[in-house]
Amino acid sequence: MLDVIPYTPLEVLVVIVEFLRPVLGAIAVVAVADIVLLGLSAAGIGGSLRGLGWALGSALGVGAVVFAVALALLPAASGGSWGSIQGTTDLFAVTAGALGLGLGAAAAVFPPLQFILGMGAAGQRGRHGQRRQA
Amino acid sequence: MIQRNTTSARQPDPQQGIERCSRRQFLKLAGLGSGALAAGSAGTGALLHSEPARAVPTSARIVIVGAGAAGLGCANRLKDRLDGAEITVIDRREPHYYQPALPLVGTGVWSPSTAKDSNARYMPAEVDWVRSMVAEYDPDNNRVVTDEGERIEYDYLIVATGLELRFDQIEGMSPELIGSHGIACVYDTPDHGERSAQAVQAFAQQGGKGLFIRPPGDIKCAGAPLKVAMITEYLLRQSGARGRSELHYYPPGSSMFTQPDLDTFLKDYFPGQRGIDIHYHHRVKGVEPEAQRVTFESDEHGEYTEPYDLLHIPPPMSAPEPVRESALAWPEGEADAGWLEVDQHSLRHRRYPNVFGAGDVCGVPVSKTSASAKSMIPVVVDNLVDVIAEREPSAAYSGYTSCPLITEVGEAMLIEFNYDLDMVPSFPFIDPLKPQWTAWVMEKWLLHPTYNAMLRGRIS
Repeated sequence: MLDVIPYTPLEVLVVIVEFLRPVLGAIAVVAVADIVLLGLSAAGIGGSLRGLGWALGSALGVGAVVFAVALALLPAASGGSWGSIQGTTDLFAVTAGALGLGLGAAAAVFPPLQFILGMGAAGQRGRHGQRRQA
Repeated sequence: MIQRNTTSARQPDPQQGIERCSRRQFLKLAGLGSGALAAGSAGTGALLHSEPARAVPTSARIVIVGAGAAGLGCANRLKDRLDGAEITVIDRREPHYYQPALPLVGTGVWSPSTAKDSNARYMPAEVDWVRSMVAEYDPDNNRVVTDEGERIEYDYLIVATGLELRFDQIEGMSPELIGSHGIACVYDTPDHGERSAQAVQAFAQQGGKGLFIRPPGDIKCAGAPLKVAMITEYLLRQSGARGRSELHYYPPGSSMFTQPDLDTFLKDYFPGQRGIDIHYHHRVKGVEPEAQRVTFESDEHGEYTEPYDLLHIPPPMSAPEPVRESALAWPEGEADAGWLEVDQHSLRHRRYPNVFGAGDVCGVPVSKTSASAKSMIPVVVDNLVDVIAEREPSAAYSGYTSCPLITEVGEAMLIEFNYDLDMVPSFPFIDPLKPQWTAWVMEKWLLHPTYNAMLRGRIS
């Protein structure tokens, strides 16, 4: 799509940053925490990458819930209502918006979920190891 | 009289910060979003503050008159495009009003805080901000004189003053009346917008006779009188008072809007879909606030008086007095008499080649919107930089303008057109003549960030 509009990716980013400016600090905190937790899991410090499928599934589950709630509430949150949705373009827009929020939520909760599940798996490994030694 | 030495007058203000944008870009950019969110939190600051690889070296003195959307956008872009220029911005006003929000503030849909901002947030630290107003232009001697008697000389001048609301041209009317006696006007400050909202909301609860005026001549945001009529009609329906109300719209000529497709649509939509009667060729002569009556001059009925319960009365508009009284204005007898005389494509003054214009003050044949300003800013800056670099100016303004025409809360139409009055939709798959939620969402959530990016000179 970028090749058919006379705007650079940087300009797209500028508008997004302006949109998020009031909450940019909070987003940065969450992003840093996510990166740190993901790094700890990958490095096996405190957590691990065991249970990756469970963490991914759970994060997508959270994302699905957020998607459904957003789909229901987005028109009202904009000041309109579902009665304001007129035709395919509006339906696509509200679905895309809800999808974006759902994916964002899934991406945000995945690192802490992975860390917690990996931590549990690491604990279980430790206990199994102690039993075998006993 | 004080003689200002602009070569040594740079005094960076500690409050100076950063900010402004256009709807067309914004509308296009709106479809591109979520993938870049993650990148936004990592390293964005450095990217957004990057400067062009080759700024043009110069010691030119550039004076920008006005710190509105066009003035701030030009200042922010110029300081990145030029190396060594002395840029001075002249404007006393500290508050910055996000004017696209005013129709929604003035009808009580949005709070006044939505439209309030500060010029200091967007004023670049590199420029000298002179907090006074220009009282006199002296283009023959390349200088302006402020209302404090300060004379400021320039090599290049950008006039970006915006326009002046002419309440004085309506007998009995003043901005202090807004909010009382059923009088509303969404064109003034956000505080007056709040008072206007009280009048609209009271009418929406009680019902009655609502009159909506479109003043004659060039006005900014020519869609606002239409928006206010339609939002009021929507609010009446919501409160259950529509049945005991009658609404009337009064354009000064035989059209509802400049763009012919929209004009045709509105001539059917207003009476047919919204029950708003149109009375063509009407101009307001005066108002009697105590009696709640307005006097019209009509081509068909002559002069007559009409009672009202709600009167939305935007005033006629003109260039600020110092511009229209100066040698920079189009002379009497021209279509744009009193407005800044610039070439409609290059935005360069037709008689003073070191003078440029941006924003509402320009005497060009399109409506005056922040979308117009956004499209004008890069043209003015590119052409001025070309002149400084001794190149032929080549940037051209197409006349692009835009109006998200709000038909009710939750729905809008995206109207974009140019000098040829052709529709130039940013998204061809969005029907500009169909009220849609997508257009409303862009107005609600994306227009303001794009506007702010324009103020900061980060979008073209």
